[in-house]
Amino acid sequence: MTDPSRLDACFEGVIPSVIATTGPDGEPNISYLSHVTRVDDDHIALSNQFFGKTAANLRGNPCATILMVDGRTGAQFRVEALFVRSETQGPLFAHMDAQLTASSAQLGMSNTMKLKGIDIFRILSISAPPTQAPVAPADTAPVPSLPALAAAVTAIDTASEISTACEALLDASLAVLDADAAMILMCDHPRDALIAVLSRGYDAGGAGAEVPFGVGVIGLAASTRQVIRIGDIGRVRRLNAAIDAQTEPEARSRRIPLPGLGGALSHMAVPLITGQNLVGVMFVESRSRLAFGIQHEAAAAILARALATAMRGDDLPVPAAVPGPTRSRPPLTDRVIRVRHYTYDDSVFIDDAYVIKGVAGRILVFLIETCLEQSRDAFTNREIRLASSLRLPGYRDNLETRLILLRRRLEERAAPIRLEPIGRGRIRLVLEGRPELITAGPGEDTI
Amino acid sequence: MPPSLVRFLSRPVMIILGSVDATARPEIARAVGASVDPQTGVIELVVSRWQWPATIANIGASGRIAATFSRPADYETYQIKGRATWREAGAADHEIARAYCRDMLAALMELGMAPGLIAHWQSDRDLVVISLTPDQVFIQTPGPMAGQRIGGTA
Repeated sequence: MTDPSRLDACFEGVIPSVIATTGPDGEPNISYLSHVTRVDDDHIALSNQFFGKTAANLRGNPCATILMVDGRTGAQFRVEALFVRSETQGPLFAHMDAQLTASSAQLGMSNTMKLKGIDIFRILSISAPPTQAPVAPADTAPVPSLPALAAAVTAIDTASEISTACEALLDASLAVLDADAAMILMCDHPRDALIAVLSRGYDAGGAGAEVPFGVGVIGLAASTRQVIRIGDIGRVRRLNAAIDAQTEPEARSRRIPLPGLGGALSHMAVPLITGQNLVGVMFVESRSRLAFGIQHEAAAAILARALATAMRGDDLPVPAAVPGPTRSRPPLTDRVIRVRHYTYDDSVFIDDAYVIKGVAGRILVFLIETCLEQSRDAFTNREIRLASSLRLPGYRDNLETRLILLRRRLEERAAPIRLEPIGRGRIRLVLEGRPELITAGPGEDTI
Repeated sequence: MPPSLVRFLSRPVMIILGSVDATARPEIARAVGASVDPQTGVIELVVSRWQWPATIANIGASGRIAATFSRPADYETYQIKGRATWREAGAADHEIARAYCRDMLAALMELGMAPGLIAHWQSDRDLVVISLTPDQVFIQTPGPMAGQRIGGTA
């Protein structure tokens, strides 16, 4: 009786597994290994970073005994297995490589833990050595509910706007995945960077915060296109510490801090991919240890696909009847809103407070300029997309998500300039005063 | 055996044991204490026969063992291979096991591990002592030195 599902909680890489093999001279060899992954009902894959003797022994005698530990309870499992083959590429290798990169970076061992290959074993038997530990209570680790997952996917898929679809995904992150906080980041094409769009459960919203590809669990999920799970952050410095450590004032650095959950012990970052296109990353955090297991990973992957597909729908033509009547709303007060646009990085300051930079900054300036020149406050996504002055990164750029990010950032800053959705494909620029737009070159003062 | 290694083996480090049965099938056990004779280099390992019966049977049959010692805080790791015999544990060996389990618990809790987890890896039931006479010592700390032989008597 093998029943490898008993081993599910051993696949988290929290407590190292042990492998014993036999040499050609009958000499035993015993070694730790960092990651074991379930392949199917009869097979497991072991990470091979440096156990040279183990690998050599298995070529002569494929019999191995593996001791695995349930990361939640500490319970041990003795697995008798037969070495089948090694793989140095393919989906399973890529998945383990990404996971290892993330957890080794966390331990400060990025260079020493490079994955050489994965070794596939057929499970012959699974048994539990006797233990003097108190009998663990029945496994109550919550597993995502399939009906709730189905409802969440429907909510994402039927949302009339991308912002509603994003909110549905954040709802599901908390309700279905049991996360304490969640965040959606979009790709900032053509840069290899992500920008936070919407979040839930944080003290600060963080819209506009940037994460470079390859940095931290979020950046690694994007660069490797793999789900990254970290189940026991413990005392180890958070991967995102370098990004979070941002203490310089926003107005000077023009960088928005990425929000973080205090006391988080579990992280999971899931790439938002539709077809072959990476559109962003969803990130969830929990204050519980080992909060996200392989069931959560699977549920998150389904949610991520659904949202990525909804976000790609942004590229579809908007119904033709869009332009409609636009009218100018005169400001209610005589207040002057001072807007400064620095062309070298397209950063925008409103009343001396940093708002946003890059493509979103250009869009904001375009809306204000057009409003002033043409005395109108309603815009279609289509005209924004086609505006040559915006130099958008291409027709397939995720404009609607950029607009959500800009709208949320203006709200979080409580800025006197806001964006308001008026049905799919249209937005209104709401002004609490008369904007005075100043374009500044690189040599000019920041504030 | 280098004095630094003797000191390392006397610290609270995780100890895993490999042995082989008559049909060349490998087996795993954990030890719950170690003491080193600095003169002879012989390492005495305290093991629960109740928890790991196959390992004790294998040593009786083959007389060979591999022991890996690893410090959880920094992954410094050594594997020592050699000849092995075993005997029943006495009162002093029980005391070694008690002290080891206490210190190991403290070291792992310092790393954020819950005591309930560690209890599965420690047993004081039916203790025996394996005497390991080292033939080969290998560095197994993850990194470029891993697998390198650093000493031994044979």
